[in-house]
Parts: sequence; C-alpha cells; structure tokens
Amino acid sequence: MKVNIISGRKKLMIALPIIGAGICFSVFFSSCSRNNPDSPGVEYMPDMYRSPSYEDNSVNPNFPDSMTDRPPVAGTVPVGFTPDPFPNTPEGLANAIQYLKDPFPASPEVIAEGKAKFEIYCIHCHGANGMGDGAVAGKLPGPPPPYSGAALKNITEGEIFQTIEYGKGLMGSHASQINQSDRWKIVRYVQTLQHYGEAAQPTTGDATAMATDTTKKGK
Amino acid sequence: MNIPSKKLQKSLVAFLAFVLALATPNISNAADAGNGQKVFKANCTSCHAIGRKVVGPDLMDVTKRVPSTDWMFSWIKNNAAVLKTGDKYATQVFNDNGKQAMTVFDGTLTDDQIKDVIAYLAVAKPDAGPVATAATGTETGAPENKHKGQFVWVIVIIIATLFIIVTVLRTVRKSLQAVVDEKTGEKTQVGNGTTVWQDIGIWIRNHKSRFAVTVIFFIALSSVYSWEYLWGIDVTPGYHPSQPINFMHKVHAGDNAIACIYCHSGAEKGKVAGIPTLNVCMNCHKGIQGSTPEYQKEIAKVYYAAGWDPSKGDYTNPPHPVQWNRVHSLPDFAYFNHSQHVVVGKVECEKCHGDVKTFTTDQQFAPLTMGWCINCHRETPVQMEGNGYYAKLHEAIKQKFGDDKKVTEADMGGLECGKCHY
Repeated sequence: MKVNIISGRKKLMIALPIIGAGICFSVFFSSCSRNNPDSPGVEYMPDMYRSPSYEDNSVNPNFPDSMTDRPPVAGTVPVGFTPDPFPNTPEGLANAIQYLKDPFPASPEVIAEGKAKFEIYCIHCHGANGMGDGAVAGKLPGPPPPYSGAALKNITEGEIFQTIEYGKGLMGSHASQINQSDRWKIVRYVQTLQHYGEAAQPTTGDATAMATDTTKKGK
Repeated sequence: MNIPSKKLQKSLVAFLAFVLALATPNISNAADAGNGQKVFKANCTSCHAIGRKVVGPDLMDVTKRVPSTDWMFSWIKNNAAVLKTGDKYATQVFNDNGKQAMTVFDGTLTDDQIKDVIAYLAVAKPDAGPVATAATGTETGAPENKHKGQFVWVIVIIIATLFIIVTVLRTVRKSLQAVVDEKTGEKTQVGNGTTVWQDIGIWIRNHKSRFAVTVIFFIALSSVYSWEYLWGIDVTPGYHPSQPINFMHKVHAGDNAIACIYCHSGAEKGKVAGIPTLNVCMNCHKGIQGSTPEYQKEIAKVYYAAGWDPSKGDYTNPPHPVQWNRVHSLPDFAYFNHSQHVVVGKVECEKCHGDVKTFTTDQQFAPLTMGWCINCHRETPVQMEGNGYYAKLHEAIKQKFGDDKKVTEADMGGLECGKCHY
C-alpha cells in the first residue's frame, strides 16, 4: 500500500472546515446553555435596549429614596384633578356623608360603566353581588360585610366614595388605582347592590337574621 | 277587650326585664356565647381577630383588660359617643390603633346581640390561624433550560466515549499490525509510526466523497443553527429572572381571580402598565399573612418593604422600595402605549403576555420583535363596533373600505415607520 502522508498545506485545507464547524457548534451550544435565568442572553447593542434615561419604576440615584416615580410637588395638583374636599378624619367622614354627592346620574350607562370597574377593582373581595363572598374574602381574617346587610345598606354615596378613597378597616385606600370619575361610577353600581336580593329573604350573614335568632331565643 | 296602652306595654316589658334580670344575676350567664360567636363572625371579623391584631386590637381576653363590662357594652354600641366623653381608656385605645374610627353598631346590633358578643369574647379562644389551603405549585425555573444543559452533557459524554474507543482500537490495531509484520516480515506504515492526524488524512484520501458529504452536512447544519442563534440575539421569550420577592401570578391572577388591571392599573390609563406600588399589595396583605411557611416568608418581605409592622398594624418601620427585575424590555426607539392597545384596541392582556394566570415565575411570553408587532397589526381586525374612541375615523374608514371588509390596523396606517419610531 502506498504511503499517504499529506502535506502541511493540504492538512490546513482539511482542518479549516472542521475548525469552522467547531466554532459554529460552540456558538450553537453557547446559545443552548443559557442556564442563568437572570441573564436575558447575549445582547447585540445593549445601549439600544438599556435606556440611559431613567424609566418608570427604575432605580434613580438622584433621589434619596432611589425611586424615579415621584409624587406631585407639594401644593400642586395634576390638570383636571379636583382635590378631595373632605379629609380622612371622623369629621371629614361626617361631612362627606352629608355633603358629598355623585356628579353622575344613576343612568343605566353609568351603572354599566361602574359595573365594569367594579369587576376589576372590587369583585375579588366583595363578590359579584357585593355579598362579601369574593375569591379573596375567604382568606381575609373576616369577609367584608354585605352591601345589602344592615351595616352597609343605608350608607350614603358620600360614605361609599370616602371608603374607596381612604379605605376602611381592612380595606386599603384605592385612590392610587381608581380615578375620581371611575370611583363615582362604581358608587352608582354599589348603590344598586345595596338593594341586592331585596325581595328575597335576608341571608344568614345578615344582622337582621341575627336579630330574629335572638328573638327566638328570648321566647 | 281593652287594648293595653303603650305606657302599660312599656311597664310590662320593664317588669319582665326586671324579672329576667333577677333570674340572671350577670350578663355572661344571660347572654349566649354561641350566638355571640355568630354575631362576632358576621360583624366584627372584618377588623378584629382573637389572638392577633388585624385592624382593631387583638380581642384575646379583652374582657379582662377593659375598665368594665358596661364600658365594653357602650363602646361596642357607640364608640364615637364614648370617645366624645373624653374617656381616658377609650382615647388610649383609639390612639393606639392608628386613630381609625370603629364602626358604630347602634341601630345595627341589638343590645342582646352586643351582650352575646361580650359573652363570647370572655371565653373566646385564639383563631386556628389562617387555614392552609391546598398546596399550590411552588416549582420554579424553566424545565427546557435544564434539558438543554443535559443535552450538552450528553454530547460531551458521547464525544469522550468515541475518543476512548478510537484510542483503544488504534492501540489494538497497532499491536495486531506489529504481530502481522513480525510474522510476514513486511513493514507497513499504516497505523505504525503515524500520528492520529496522519491516519485521518489517509482515511480522508481513501474516502473523499464520503468526507465531502459529511463536511457539507456539518457546515449546513451549523449554519442553520448559527443563523437561528444570531436571529435570537436580544429576542428573549421565556426570559424569567428571579425576583426579590417570589411573587406568583398563579396565586393572585389564577387562584384568586384578581383582575390584571387591579394591580397594573396604568394599563388602562397610560403608556406603562406599571408595577403596583406596595400599598396595592397591602390592600389585601394587611389581612392575609400567608397560608404556608413559604408564603409567609415572601409576604414578610412585602411587610418589610412597605414598612408595615404586623404586630402594631401600622406603617411604623422605614420603607424599603423593592427592586424588581425587569422582564419585558422594549427599546426606547420603539414607542408602545398600553392604554392604546388595552382600551382602544381592546386587546386581551393574555395575547401579548401569555397565560399569566399559570405563571409561578414571571416570564416574557412574546418575542417583542418588530415582525411580531407588524404581524398583529396586519392580521387583527379593528373592533369598530361600540368603540367610541375613534368613532369619526372609523366612519370614514368604513366608507373607504366598504362595510364588509375586515379593516386591520395596517389599513389605518399601522405599518408607517413614524407610528412607532419617532
């Protein structure tokens, strides 16, 4: 058999594609080995993606609390915003109950819009019919009282608005999530729920039901 | 028969009450703690618990620390009236609990019911605590990535094994050749005194076409993969960075069916959907401290960040803003507005963010490439019915395209460069 020892140049010719393929493969495998979930992977032009400007929710070293989102400057209000007339105090609440009135009529359109917002912001605790039976209610120390129960049946639109704005008891303030006009629309819908099941018998969670219990016991 | 006058009725009731009072020397005996528990559950648990503070103070052994049962009675009935009298203990309770006014129960609860509640509180035992609900999935991480890692190792092991086999076979062949050479007295050079590279060279010379096919195949394969890889740079669907708080959309949006907009309320109002501020978390987590130890650990981080002291029930600690890791990063040169898509376009959140209700770790769903944006603008029909936002424009478009044609965003200039890049 003839001896076949290839020359250095030919060796290179053969080795090159192999090396090329090897590089391509290593690149391919490096793309597979994105095991670090905290890294989004290779970035071609990071400065195009990572903005040098500060973005909402990003860290900002220029402020002592390091947050880019700033509250409005003290004493200023956004355009179109009316500061709420009654503060979160017992007196403020008393005034709100008496004087705060819903600018929207209780028309079917407003109630429908209120319902749509209610189903985003309220339903998971207060339940679809305001009975305090939402999905989250069971996990709270106690469910919210039913709108149509004795405690909430007769509260005024001003008190409902004030409650959405400042919260009450376990319920926190929803002012940062719901703007004023949406709040007033929700109030209109909640007012319809205050009369939920009016014709039907009072439910067991209701204070009136408790009252009948006690009268029975008294006899 | 004479109907007794109101006065007579009243005195009769008073007499009966007197007799009852004689028969039952103190409140706790007369009142029914069982009924009290029912009333308590129906009216008080929104703010009070036994054994821990919720909004109002912990009511464990409350009857022992209040000035008197009568005080307790009048406090429950109308706490505002008691506060007005300047009662020292009442003022202290009010101040110690964040100056939050308690509901006035005068008119809502009867006197008997209030007595029942007091009787219940005298004997009440601590709540069992949050009941552990069915364990929800806590597995994190992406399984595909683990598989990819394993795949690479399998390849490495195969290559190593092949290398060992080749070496062994070469050694065997060499010794066999040596034996053959010895017997025949000839001397061949193949496998004897040649290097591996020389051997490979010889093999290639003898199998030129096979070698060429193999090389072309590998080059084609690696080109395809490299092409794919290069296209994938900066396109990161499935990116799921770990977060400082292990928030689970599965629990919140899935199990508890909380609407996306509840927390990301910016999506309806402006450009950015927004990461909710901690007061939104605290809307529920004031009351919910977690059903399992893992959950409790994560919720404790929320309390730490918000500066909430669960034992005091107030924001008394310094706040520590949470530094969430950004998942979706759209470059600054592309303008995207959430409200435009959510409110006007009526696009479901899931269309771009995937089935977030099932996510245990937040991850990017859409590729966020320009092609992906453009495709949707080409394919999705504009919802013009009942969409008051562009009523006038839609009317003009209908005239232009006719009523029957499905109008897409592309028809309305949604592919113009300046629409998103300016």
